[in-house]
Amino acid sequence: MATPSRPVPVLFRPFKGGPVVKHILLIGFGLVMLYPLLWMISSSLKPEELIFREPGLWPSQVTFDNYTAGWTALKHPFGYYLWNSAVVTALSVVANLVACSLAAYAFARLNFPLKKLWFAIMLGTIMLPHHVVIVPQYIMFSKLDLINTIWPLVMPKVLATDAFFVFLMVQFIRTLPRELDEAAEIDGAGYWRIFIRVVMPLCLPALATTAIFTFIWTWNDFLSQLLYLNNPDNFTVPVALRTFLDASSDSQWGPMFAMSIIALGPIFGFFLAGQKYLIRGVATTGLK
Amino acid sequence: MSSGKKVWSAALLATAMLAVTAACGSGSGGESADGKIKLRFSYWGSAARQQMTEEAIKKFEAKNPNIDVEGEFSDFAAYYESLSTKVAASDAPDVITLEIRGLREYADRGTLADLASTVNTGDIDPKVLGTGAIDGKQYAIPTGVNAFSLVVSPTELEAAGQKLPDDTKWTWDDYVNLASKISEKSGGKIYGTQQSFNPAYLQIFAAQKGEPFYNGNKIGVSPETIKEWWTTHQNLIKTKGSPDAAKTAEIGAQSVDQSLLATGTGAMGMWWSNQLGGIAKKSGKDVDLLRMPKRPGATTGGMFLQPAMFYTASSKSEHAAEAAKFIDFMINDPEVGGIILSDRGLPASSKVLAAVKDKLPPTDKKTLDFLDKVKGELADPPAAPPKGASAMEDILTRYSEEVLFGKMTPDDAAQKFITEANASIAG
Repeated sequence: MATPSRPVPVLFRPFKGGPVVKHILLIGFGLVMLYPLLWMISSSLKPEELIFREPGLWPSQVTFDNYTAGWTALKHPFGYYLWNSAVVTALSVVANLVACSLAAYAFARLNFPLKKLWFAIMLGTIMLPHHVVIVPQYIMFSKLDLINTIWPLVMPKVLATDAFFVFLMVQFIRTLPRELDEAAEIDGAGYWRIFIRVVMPLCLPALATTAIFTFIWTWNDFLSQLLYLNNPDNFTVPVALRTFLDASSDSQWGPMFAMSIIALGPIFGFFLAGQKYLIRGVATTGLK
Repeated sequence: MSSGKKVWSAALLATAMLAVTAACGSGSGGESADGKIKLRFSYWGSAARQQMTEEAIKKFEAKNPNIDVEGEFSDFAAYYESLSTKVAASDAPDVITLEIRGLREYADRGTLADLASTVNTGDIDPKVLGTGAIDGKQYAIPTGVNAFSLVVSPTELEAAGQKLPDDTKWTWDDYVNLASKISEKSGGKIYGTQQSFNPAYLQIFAAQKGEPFYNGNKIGVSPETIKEWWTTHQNLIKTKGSPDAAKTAEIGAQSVDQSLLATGTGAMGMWWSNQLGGIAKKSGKDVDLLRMPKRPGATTGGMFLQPAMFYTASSKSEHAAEAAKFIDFMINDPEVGGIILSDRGLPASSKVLAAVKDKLPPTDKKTLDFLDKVKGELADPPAAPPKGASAMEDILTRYSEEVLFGKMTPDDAAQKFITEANASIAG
């Protein structure tokens, strides 16, 4: 450090023990933010009757009963519901990636009649609250006789109704230089080939962002899954978790916490795997 | 450029996908694939209730091989959300479980069918049965009954050197004194009781003055009575018989599992009688039911039986006869009673109750004995409350907390409560 020409106020001087103190503060803050999760982990390891009697963070007795009881407490072993959720989520992710990227490519690169109007309508659907659409959508699926199947959850995604992701990709594709498309066109590539060989590989961050958010939102979605999956054989994790609790009779808090921890696993894993793309996606699209 | 062709092929692909997905739908309404009649039965509850219900459904299907009952179930918090969507989409289940506060709302919308002639209700106490009737039509059949009563832990009382009160004679003042003594003797480790803002409590309190909770589409409780009711709450806080206003608000928002009594930090509380089992299990202590205290000179104790829930049938069902048959079976079949026991309240049908009496767990036996004991003093079960009654608990809790926090005078709060409550049930 060169001595500054003017004395710097104490407040702005570089702080020597900086990194260490900064990290301690950040870790402390992180722990505070994590407290609810830590509490849930600790409660899942307590005997059921102690959860609210001793609400502290350190369990006085540790037991894995909640995990074994919770796994088998419902009609099916809990793995069955995890599988149901995995099917819905996987189909949603694939459908969103395919449909939204196609729609985005069309909006960003192709010319067709009334393009501006369609784009405005598409953006308009972002402003529609979910609850406005619920009843008409339910009537539609009920007339199609698709209640109690996973199609009401997946089909909208096949048709690129997640306008948020379409918009995200449109913005991303617009940042790509058109010269690349033109070069490919001169080499004789058609729209499909340009889309698959040129645009998509460059869109990887946007695709990863879409995949991760679709995964998290679908995995955590409750209301539409509750509405369309009435039969306990079709329950997904969020709906199954709710059946541990009932305001009017006996609630099984311990197993509920234990299974919630297990249900967090896939999200956590998926996020870790996709994190580096996500950072890139956020950095390049400015979306979080 | 063959762009036109490409776009067409994409469009074709999408159409093909749609066709495939649409073809995956199940057989159409009311007929399952194997030609059986399909009945949809919606109910709420916990996983344990779902397993019992599935068992009962299997029994019904064994006796009626041409009917296939499909249970649709969720937890209570989400139940009405999905039910109202289905009803709005005219896709209501054939058999719908409702609780008393939602009954009038669905009956007034023309959602429910009259079951008077199709379900056998001969073994149900006519007064209890009357709670499911609206404008002379028997829209709903009660499954079982509960009473709102005082839950006490004798062990905690003993530990604080107190005797069980004589609940045939005790007054609200006795109740406050007992609670404060328990708090005092335990050195602050145990609270005497916890506050309740349940409308059922106010209903009992008002009945002791001869006032009904609802008078048609209006609140029948006078402002004086509400103020008097709050006096008991204020005295409990003053004498430290209950936690202070802040902690009261905090535990009031939690479920019974987190109540003082269930977590071993309280000796008394007020709940529905069917919650006794849960409290006993969570607290690990012996618990018992007592009659509610009375006002000096009250002619009635004001306690009443309330149906735990009702079975109703959709008026738009294509299989009204089968729906009624299923309800009849669930209400009157002793075998079903043996499976469901007291899960939907103590069985409303006296025949079923007699058949399952000995199978009930010990806390339910206690409840049963208690209900038998107080049978002669009970007020008539209240008729289905007006539409909008579901919001009553929230409204009452809000104003009660304003009073206990000292933000509103009881006079002011009582007036405002009545105005807001009336507005909520006027519709």
